[in-house]
Amino acid sequence: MKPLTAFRLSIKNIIRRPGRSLCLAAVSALLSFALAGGSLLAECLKNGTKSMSDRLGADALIVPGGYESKAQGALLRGEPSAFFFEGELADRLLDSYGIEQASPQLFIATLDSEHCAFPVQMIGYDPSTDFVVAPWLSQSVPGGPAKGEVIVGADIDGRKGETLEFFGSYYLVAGKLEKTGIGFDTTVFLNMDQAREALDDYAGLVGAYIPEDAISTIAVNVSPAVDINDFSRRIRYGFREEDVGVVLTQAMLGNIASKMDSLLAVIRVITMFLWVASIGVLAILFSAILGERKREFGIYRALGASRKKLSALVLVEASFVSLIGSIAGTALLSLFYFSLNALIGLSIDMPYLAPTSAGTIAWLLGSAIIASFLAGPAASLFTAARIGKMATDAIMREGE
Amino acid sequence: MLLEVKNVSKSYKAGISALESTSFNVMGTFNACLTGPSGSGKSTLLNIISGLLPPSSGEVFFDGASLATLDDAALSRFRCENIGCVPQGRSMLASLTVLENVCLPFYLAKKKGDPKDRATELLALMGLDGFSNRRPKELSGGELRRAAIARGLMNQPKLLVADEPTSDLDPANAEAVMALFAKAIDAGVSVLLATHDMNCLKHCSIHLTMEKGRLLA
Ligand SMILES: Nc1ncnc2c1ncn2[C@@H]1O[C@H](COP(=O)(O)OP(=O)(O)OP(=O)(O)O)[C@@H](O)[C@H]1O
Ligand SMILES: [Mg+2]
Repeated sequence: MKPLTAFRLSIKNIIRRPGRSLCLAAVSALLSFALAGGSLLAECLKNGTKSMSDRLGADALIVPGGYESKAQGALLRGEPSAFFFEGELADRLLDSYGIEQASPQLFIATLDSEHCAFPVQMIGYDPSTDFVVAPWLSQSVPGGPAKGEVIVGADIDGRKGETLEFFGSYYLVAGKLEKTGIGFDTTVFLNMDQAREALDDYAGLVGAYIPEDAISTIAVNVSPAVDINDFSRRIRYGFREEDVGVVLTQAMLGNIASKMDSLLAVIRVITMFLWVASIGVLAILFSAILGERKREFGIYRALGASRKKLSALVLVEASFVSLIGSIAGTALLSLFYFSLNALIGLSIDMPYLAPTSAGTIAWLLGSAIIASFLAGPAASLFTAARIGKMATDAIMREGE
Repeated sequence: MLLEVKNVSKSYKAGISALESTSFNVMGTFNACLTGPSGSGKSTLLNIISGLLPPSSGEVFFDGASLATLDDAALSRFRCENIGCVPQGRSMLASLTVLENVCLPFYLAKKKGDPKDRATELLALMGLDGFSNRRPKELSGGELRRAAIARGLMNQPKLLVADEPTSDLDPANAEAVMALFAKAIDAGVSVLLATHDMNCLKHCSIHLTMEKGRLLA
């Protein structure tokens, strides 16, 4: 016969009282679900903001005055927008003091009509000066998209080799960007010449006035010696007649980052609170159950079990139930996370949640299981310590 | 064996004494019966002798060795090896089968080997062949009590302590249980039991009477 170890005795007890065990496991499951969910959410948020500045790859964007927030919306969330200034002004801007790298871009909003596959942000860029788009190419497209070609963001429905219709013309998908977590994911990129043709089609369809050699933004990297705020001020002052705006990516991201920081702190506090609260709830449950099990432990004691043995029984049982609950809760959360992740992948407006690597996820889930698991034995310590004395008293009394 | 109880007293709460300075010695293989009115301190004395309850003062000696000198681990080991217990009332653990219940003291004593054969033998001796794999809830009160006695004998103790072993049994079952104690004594196990059942007295070799926490001569 199999030896009746503390482990086997505990399992038999757990099976014997499925309702009670399930109740305890449910607390652990809830806890691990919350812990795993909280840490995953925090990680995704952190990941989302941390690399956002790297993602944009530019210090500043020079835009027509009044279009700063539209430019942000287009870059961060991929909200289609179109705004322009004259090519002649763009040339003068490019000569500004302190610019180390600069690449002009042309923003066009494709339309929700029969002429376009779908309404997205279309960006024309100049592959020869570009430093923003190229780092994201999943495989190299030498010289950038050629005539009649587009490069698409990760979430654009179109694979390499397929064709997409915009403004009545067909474009071959020449490459795809990796997932960026920002508006680029839902943006279609073409070279500047091609973009100008598309712009003519766009102008024809919407009847808008388009300035000559139009440019929408200039992505700029400022030389290290120049203060970015000085740079911004000088441009805005120097071109006050023409009304030029400057979007500083650092500031735009810093704003988000500081909001994220407080959100992260809140998540952290809530998780800590949940952990402590769960230990409290479990401790109360264990203690209540002890009352119900006095007689049982009294019998163990009468049959020769030491106080240590009784404590071990309580601890092992608490650990076992807590472990099962923790694993179940985390498994449920993973299921949730991965199905949600698939949904986020499809949706356009969650740029701040960047999915993280499988290794990190495994680590986070593992930690959640361990932290939640530990709450079980921790909560039972008090009961385990009390049990020896109570058991002795209970032997005197009858009734199960 | 030699059992010495020296000046043992117990008060659960300060001022109220459940057991007043009690002394007696018994030796050899005995069948001792403890009787007395309810609340006279029988269970208290039994639990002190079996090492479950520490006395407020006084000492209990088994073959000259005092229980008071042992810490919880050592006392538990000593109890596992020397004292069999048949607790009052229904004492089979519901999560275990009858066989597992009977084997439990063997494992609590951390003994090596397989107790199954001995447990089966004991169950047969108690007239419970074929009950091994049943659950306690499927047994009658008399069967449960007999199984508990089998469990008390599992580790071949020197002393078997039973608190009111016939209290909830009909006369036939009570008689059967008493006959089993007689068998245990034949096997060299001393028996100490507390009871209200005067029928038990005809089987016992020593009769102790208690009243208001005192042992009457
Ligand atoms: N855990 C306890 N706490 C306080 N008082 C107790 C406790 N256990 C027993 N007593 C008291 O000690 C006295 C002796 O009780 P004990 O159980 O030893 O009597 P008994 O002779 O076994 O009675 P019965 O025949 O009814 O079982 C009683 O007055 C009882 O109220
Ligand atoms: Mg009693």
